[in-house]
Amino acid sequence: MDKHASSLHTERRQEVARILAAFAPADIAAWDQAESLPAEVTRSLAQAGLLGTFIESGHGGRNWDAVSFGLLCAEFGQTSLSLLSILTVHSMVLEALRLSGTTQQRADWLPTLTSGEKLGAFALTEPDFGSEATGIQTTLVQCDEGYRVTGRKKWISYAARADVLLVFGKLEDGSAVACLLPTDTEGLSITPMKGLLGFRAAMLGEIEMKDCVIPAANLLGGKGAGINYVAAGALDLGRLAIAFGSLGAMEACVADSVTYASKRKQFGQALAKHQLIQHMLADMITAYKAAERLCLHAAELRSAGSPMAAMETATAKYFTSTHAVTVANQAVQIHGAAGCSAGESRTERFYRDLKITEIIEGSNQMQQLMIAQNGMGEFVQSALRRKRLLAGK
Amino acid sequence: MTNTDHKQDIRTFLENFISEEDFANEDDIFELGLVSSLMAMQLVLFVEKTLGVRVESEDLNLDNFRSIDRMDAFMQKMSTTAHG
Repeated sequence: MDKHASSLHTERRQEVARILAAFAPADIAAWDQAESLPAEVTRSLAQAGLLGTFIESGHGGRNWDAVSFGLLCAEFGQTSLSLLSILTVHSMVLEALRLSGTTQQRADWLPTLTSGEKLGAFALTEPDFGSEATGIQTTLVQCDEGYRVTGRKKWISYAARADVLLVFGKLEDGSAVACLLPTDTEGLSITPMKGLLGFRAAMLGEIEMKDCVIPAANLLGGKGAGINYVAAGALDLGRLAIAFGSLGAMEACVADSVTYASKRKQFGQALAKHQLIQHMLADMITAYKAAERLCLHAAELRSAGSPMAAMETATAKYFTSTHAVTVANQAVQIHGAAGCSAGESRTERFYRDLKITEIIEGSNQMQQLMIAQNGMGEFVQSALRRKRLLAGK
Repeated sequence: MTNTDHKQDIRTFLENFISEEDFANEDDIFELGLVSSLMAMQLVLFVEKTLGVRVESEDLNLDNFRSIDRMDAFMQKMSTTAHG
């Protein structure tokens, strides 16, 4: 990926790669098997200044642009998609505060979250509502102290250890709102979720909230803005993180497959010399290169503040996660039995984890709807311009 | 910048996403299903990029972005506030 990045972006990616290299492959595999992440891992990432890079320096961040953030996510994805998941949901809380927080809320919350002193999680999905976010049943009822939050959330990444949750619910008049809910609030209980297909070390949890009292100052983005602005803005960043994270995992799958196919011999020659293996490698490399361009294009638009960035991010997330699953499937195939064994290769973990990237931060079917609905105008206008050009107008 | 300038800018931006050839300045683009609700965030970014201002949380209201006319009125208000 580096050949397309500026020297500053390359430097930043190398910095991240060096930090993440401290985690031994055996330890990363052990996190997955234990379905838990040692607390010292996130502490070390916080100390290295990697948990709030895109936040302005005035609030403790590093002012990194979207391309730098994307490359950071690619390195996380290449290391562990569970680690990427934790970075993603924490970043989504930061992004919601950055976009929708008042000056006071940004001053109150961003420094401790950016430093990693506190970690956040994004609590939108409920047992009965996922993609249909407007159907959420969590309620916020006004009271003397502020609001009482009641409801359930499920499959919330890092819920089992987060310090603060960004919770979405509805007021009594039905308007959607977002609020910040510290996990030590009375009435809140979190049950860790085990036995997942992928993202096993991301410490997912099910949350139950019973009359959890929060001050009115914890309401984020105003009444009615919960889904259309706060969640949408956070999910936009989340999709960028997942697109780049999938890209990083895809790169690892291609690299591992090329290395393995070059060393392993069958029928008297390296696997890589067999044409059917070359066929698979060609498809993997092509998919990776196309995904890389889409991801970088989306990040560049975002860095430029373009309102078109969200659409291109959805396209990048859809394409990259879809093709990453195919690439991981091919990587397992090339590795054969070794690709099915956690102790022999990391491809089996990537294969399981990458499937999750097709579902989270908006399922790929939701991305398809967005791309089709919002992308049609672009092509209608293009056809009209062509018609006018050919008519000499 | 005049009202007319804003309206044309908004229309040009929306035409990137709306496949209908004709829609009026007063049409509610969300109610008519011309765009998805996710467009709201992109419209906020459009206003911020065009005017060089930050849309604060109290203004994050879908009613400000429902039609070209309403967006134009909102942008006029934002412009006035920003430039005193």
